[in-house]
Amino acid sequence: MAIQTTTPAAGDRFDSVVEVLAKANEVKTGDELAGIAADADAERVAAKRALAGMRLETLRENPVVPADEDEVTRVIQEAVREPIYDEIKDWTVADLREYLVATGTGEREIAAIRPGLTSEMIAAVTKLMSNLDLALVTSRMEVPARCNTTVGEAGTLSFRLQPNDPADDVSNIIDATREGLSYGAGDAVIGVNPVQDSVETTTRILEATHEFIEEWDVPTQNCCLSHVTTQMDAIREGAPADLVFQSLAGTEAGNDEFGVDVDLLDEAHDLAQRRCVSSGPNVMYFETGQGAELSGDAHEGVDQLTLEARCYGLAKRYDPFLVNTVVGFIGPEYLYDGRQVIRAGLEDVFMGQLHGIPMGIDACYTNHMGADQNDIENLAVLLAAAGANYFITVPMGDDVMLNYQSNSYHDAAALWELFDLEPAPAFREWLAEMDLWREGRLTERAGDPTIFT
Amino acid sequence: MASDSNPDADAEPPEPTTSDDADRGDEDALRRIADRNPTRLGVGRSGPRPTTEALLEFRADHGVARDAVHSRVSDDLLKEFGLVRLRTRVADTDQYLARPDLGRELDADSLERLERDCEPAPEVQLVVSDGLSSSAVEANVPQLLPALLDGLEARGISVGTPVFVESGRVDVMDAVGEELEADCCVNLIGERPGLRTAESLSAYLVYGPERGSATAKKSVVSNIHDGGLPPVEAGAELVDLIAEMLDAEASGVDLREDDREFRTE
Amino acid sequence: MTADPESLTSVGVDVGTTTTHTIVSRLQVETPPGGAASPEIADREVVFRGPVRETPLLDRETIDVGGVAAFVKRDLEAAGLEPATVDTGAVIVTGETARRENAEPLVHQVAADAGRFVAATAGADLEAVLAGRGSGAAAHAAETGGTVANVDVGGGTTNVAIFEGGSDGRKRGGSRVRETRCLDVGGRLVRFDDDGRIGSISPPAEVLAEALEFPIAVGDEPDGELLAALAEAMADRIVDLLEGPPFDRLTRELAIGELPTEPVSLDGVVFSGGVGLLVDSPPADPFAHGDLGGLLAAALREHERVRSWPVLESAEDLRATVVGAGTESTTLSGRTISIEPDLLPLRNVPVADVGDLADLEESRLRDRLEATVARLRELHDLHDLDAVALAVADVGPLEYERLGSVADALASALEPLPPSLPIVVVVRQNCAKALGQLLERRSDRPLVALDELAVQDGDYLDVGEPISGHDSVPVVVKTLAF
Repeated sequence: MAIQTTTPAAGDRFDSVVEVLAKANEVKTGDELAGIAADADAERVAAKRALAGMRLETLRENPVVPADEDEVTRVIQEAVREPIYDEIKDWTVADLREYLVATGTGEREIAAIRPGLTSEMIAAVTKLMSNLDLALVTSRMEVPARCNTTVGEAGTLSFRLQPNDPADDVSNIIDATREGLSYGAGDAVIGVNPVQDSVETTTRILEATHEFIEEWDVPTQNCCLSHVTTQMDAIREGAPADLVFQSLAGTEAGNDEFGVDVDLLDEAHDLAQRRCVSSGPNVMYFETGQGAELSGDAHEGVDQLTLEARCYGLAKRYDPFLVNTVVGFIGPEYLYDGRQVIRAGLEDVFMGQLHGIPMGIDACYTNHMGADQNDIENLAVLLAAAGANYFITVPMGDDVMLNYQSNSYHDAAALWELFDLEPAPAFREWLAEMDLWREGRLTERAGDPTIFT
Repeated sequence: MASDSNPDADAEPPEPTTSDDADRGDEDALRRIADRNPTRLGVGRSGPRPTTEALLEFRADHGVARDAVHSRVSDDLLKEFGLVRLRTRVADTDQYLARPDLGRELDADSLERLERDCEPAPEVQLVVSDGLSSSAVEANVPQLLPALLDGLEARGISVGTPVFVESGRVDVMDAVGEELEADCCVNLIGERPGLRTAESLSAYLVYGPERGSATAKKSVVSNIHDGGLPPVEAGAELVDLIAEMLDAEASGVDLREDDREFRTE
Repeated sequence: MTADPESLTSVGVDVGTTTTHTIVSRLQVETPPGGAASPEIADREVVFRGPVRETPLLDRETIDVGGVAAFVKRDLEAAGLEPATVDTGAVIVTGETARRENAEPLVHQVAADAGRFVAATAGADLEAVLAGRGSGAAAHAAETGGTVANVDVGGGTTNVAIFEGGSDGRKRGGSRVRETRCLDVGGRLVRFDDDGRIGSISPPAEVLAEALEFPIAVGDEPDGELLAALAEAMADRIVDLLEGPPFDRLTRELAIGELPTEPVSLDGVVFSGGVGLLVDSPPADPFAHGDLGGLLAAALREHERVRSWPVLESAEDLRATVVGAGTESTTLSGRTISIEPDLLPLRNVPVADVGDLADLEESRLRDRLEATVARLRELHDLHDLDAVALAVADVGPLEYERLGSVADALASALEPLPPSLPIVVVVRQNCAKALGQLLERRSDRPLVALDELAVQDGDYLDVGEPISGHDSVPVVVKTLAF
C-alpha cells in the first residue's frame, strides 16, 4: 500500500502504515537502532503530515502486526466497541488531535469516544501532539482505580513506595518502608522488586510487607514484583498479596520473551480476583517501557511508541489498579537522554490514560544515559501538572538494587505543595492520625523512620 | 531528624535547621537504620526537600558514575600488562551508548592487528573491555590479571596474547575468540556504574566462542570490586572456572544448570 | 544462581547436670543475591523436640554413657531420622556434668552415634553463648541494636553471655558476643533425698555456706529459712556477676574462668535454663524438684536489683542451650575457598592465631608465622590430630603481591610440621581461593583454605564436606574440645 500525504511533494511517499508511524515519531535512539526512524527532520515532518491525513479506519484496518500472527493485536481489535468506532472511523488523526485539545473536551467527551479507539490510533495521535498538547489533554482525563485505596481521583497524587534491597533482606525492606511512609509516600502501593525470583523470596517479602501494613493499619496495598508465575505459586500457597504484577510487551513475541501470554495473564487475573487479600476490584499491576520489545528482538519492525501503546491495549483487558512506564530504565540505546525520556514519559502517560487505564510513571534514568536528577524532577513537575495517577519513589532517588535513579520520597510532598494536591483520601487520613500530615503539609514528625518502631 | 523550617508556619524568625534534636531518644535507632541499610535512609530533610549534604552526596556519587562511563582506560595500564589495543566499530562514546550492535564487532584495523600481533588458537583468549566503566577496569584488572595468568600457567593452560577492546560490549569476545580460534574466551568488562560503586567489573566466559551465540552459553562472575568479590579472589575463581570449562568443553547453562543470572551490561 | 533453597539437618544434644535433651532442626542455606555473596544460614527451624529426661548417672561422679546414648538413639528414631542423614550439629555437656570423669568419652560416643559431622563440645563459655542464641537474647540484640545479657541458670552453673547488636546490615540476625561470665551457682548445688533430708551439697554450695557461716550438712532436716537465705546468697552472686566489676570476693571464688574488667550497661536481660525460666513464675512448692532451684528462682524474682532490670521474655523453654547447640553451632565458610575434598571432614582441629598481619612488613611475616607454628607444636601432639589450623585476622591489603608474600612465608613456616599433616588456613577476608592457589604452588602438603570466618586462638574446628549445591563448607567453631 502506498500512502501519500495530503500535500504531496517529492519524497513524501511511504510504503506502509508501519513506516509512517515509525517515521512520524519524535527522535528516539531505539527507532534509529531498529533502523526504522526518519532519516532527517524533513522526512519526519512529512510522515507526520501523512499521519495527520490518515483516517482512523486505515489504522484500524492496518494493525502494525497482523491479527492472525499476534494475540496482542487480537486483544486490541476485539475490545473495540463497534458502534462508537463507526461514529469516528472517518476522522483523520488530525481531527482526533483537535477533538482532544478543543475547548470543552473533558473526561466525559473523551470517555465517549474511548471504546472506539485502538492502540494504533492512540499512538498515531500522540505523534502529532506537542509536549504541551500531551500535558493538557492528560490533565483533562481522570481514570481512577480502586484496590484497598483509590488512586487517580481529581486533586490527588499518589506514590509507589519502592523499598528494594540488593540482598532481599526483609528487615532492610521494612526499614525503607518506614522511611517512605514517614515522608507520606506509599498510598499507591508498597511494591518490592526482588533480586531472587523464587516463591520463597516472594512469600517472605509479601508476608513482611503485609504484616507491617496490618500492624500499622496503613491504607495501601503490597506487591512483590517477581515473575507472574512465581507470584501465582506463592499466592496459591497462601502468601498474602494485594496485587499481582507483570511486565508487558506490545507484541506476542515480546510477551513470549517475558514468559507470558494472554492465557497465562487471564489465569493470573482470575487467580488475583479470587485469592488476593485486597478488597479490589482492581487487582493487577503492570509495568511497561518503550524499547522493551526491541531489546528482546521482538519489535516486528514497529516503532517503540506504537508498541508501548499496544501494551496499554493489552493491560486494559485486566482492569488494572496500577500501570506505569519505567521510562528511563532501559538505557540510552532506546531513549538517549533527558530530552527523549521526558518526551517518552509524557507520551506514555497520555496514551495510557487515553486507553482508559490508571496510569502512573517511574520517572527514572540510568547512569549511562545523558540525564540526571534534574531531568526527572522536570518530568515529575510536568506529569504532576498533567495529572498522572502516581510516581515511583525510592530513598533519596537512589535504587541500589535495580541500580538506577528515580524520584525521591522527598518529591512527594514537594509535588503536593507545588500543585496543591493531596495523597489518596484514606491514606491522607491515616497520615493525619499518625501526625505526619497537617493542613496540606508534612508535620515535624515526618521523615523519621523510627516512628514506626 | 525530621525538621520543618517552614517560615510561614510561625512568626518566629526561621531557623535554618536541617536536623532536629527534639527526638534524641530515636537518634540511635535512626543511625542504626542508616548504617545497616545499603540504601540512602535517614538522610533528613528541610521542609519537603533533602538536606543539602544528602543532595550533594547524591550528586557526587552520580558524578563519579558518569565519569566512569565517559573516561578512557589509560595507556599505562595496557603497557603494564602488554595488552594489545583494539577498537570496535564505534566512533565515539555517544555512538557507543546508542549502538550496542557496533560495539560487538571489531573495526578493520583491529581485525588486522589481531591476525598480525596475537597468537592463534590458544586454549584461553583474554579480552579486557571498558564496557560501561573504564574505572572498573582501572580498579580491578591490576590485581585480577596476575592471579588469573599465574594460576592458568600453574595448571599448564595456554593463554594467548591478551587484548584490550575499546568501546567493547560483552559479545565482542565472540568476535575476538572466533577470529583467533580460541578454545575459550574471557571478557573482563566494566559493568554499568551504580551510585554505590562505579568500579564493578564482570567476567564473561564462553567455551567455543562464535559470533551470534546465545547469551545463555556464557558463564559470568559479576560484582567484582573491593566491596564485592575482591579482584584477586576473582582471578583465582576464574582459574578454577576456566579449568572446569576446558574439562567439560562447555560454558553457561551447558556447564551448570543454575547459571542463569546475567546482568544488563 | 539457584533459587532452590538448600537445607541442612542439624542435631543438638545437651547433656546437663540435671537433664538431657535432644532436638532436630532444619537450617536453611541461602545465597544472598548479588553475584559475589557467600551462602549463609538464612533460617533455623526446630522440627523435633525430644522429651526432657533426667541425666542418667551411674554414681555422683559418673555419667551413664550407655543410658545417654540410648536416649539420643530413641529421640532420633522418634524424629524419623537416620544418623546417616544428619548433616551437622553438636553434642554439648554442660554445667557440672562437663567436669565429670567420663564426660569426654560420652560426648564422643554420642556425637559419633548421632551423625557423621556432629561435633562434641563442652565448656561454660560455649554453653553461655549457645543458650543466649537459643533463648532469643542474641536475636533481640540484633533487632534492637542494643546490649542484651542472657542469664542461663541451670542445675550446676550460671552462664551469662552478653550480646551486642551490630550495624552490619548484611548479616541477618547480626549480633556479636561481647563477653561471657560464668559462675558455679545453680539449683542442684543442694539436693534433697526422698525423705526431704539434705542428700548432697556440691562444693560450691559448701563454699557459700562456709563463708556465710550457714550450718548445713548432708543428712540434715532442712531449715526453710536457712535454705531461703542460702538461695538468696546465690542470687546475690548472680546479681553481682551481672553488675560487676567490681566483684565480691565470693563471686570471684565461684567464677569459672576469667571475669571481665569493665562493667557493661545492659538494655535487656533474658533468663533461661531450668532455674532461669522459673524466675518468671516460681513453683508453688519450691522443693518440687528435690533441689534448691525453686528457692533460687524465687530469690532472683524478689531480688531488689533484678526488679530494676529490663527483663525480657525468653523465646524458648528450658531448652535454650540445646536449641542453640542444634541451630547455632554451625557456620558456613565463604563461597570462594580452596579445598581438597578428600581431606574432609576434619575434626577437632586446634587453631593457632597468627594475629593481624596487616602492619607487618614482608621480612617480618616469616618470623610471626614460624612462632605460631612453633606454638602449635608445643601445645599439641601432632600425631593425634586430623589437622592443624592457622587463623589470620588480616593479611593486609588484598593485593596479589601481598598474598604472594604471605604464601611464601607460610610455606616456609610450615616446613617443620609433618609433611602429611593437613593444614587449614582460616582468613577473615575474602581471599581463601587466591591464597590457597598461591600456597598450592609453593607446598605439596595437604591444604584447606577457608575464609569469611572469625576464629580465635585456642578454638577447635570441625570442618565438614561442601554442602550440596554450594561451594561453602560447614564449620563448627568450639571453644573447647576433648
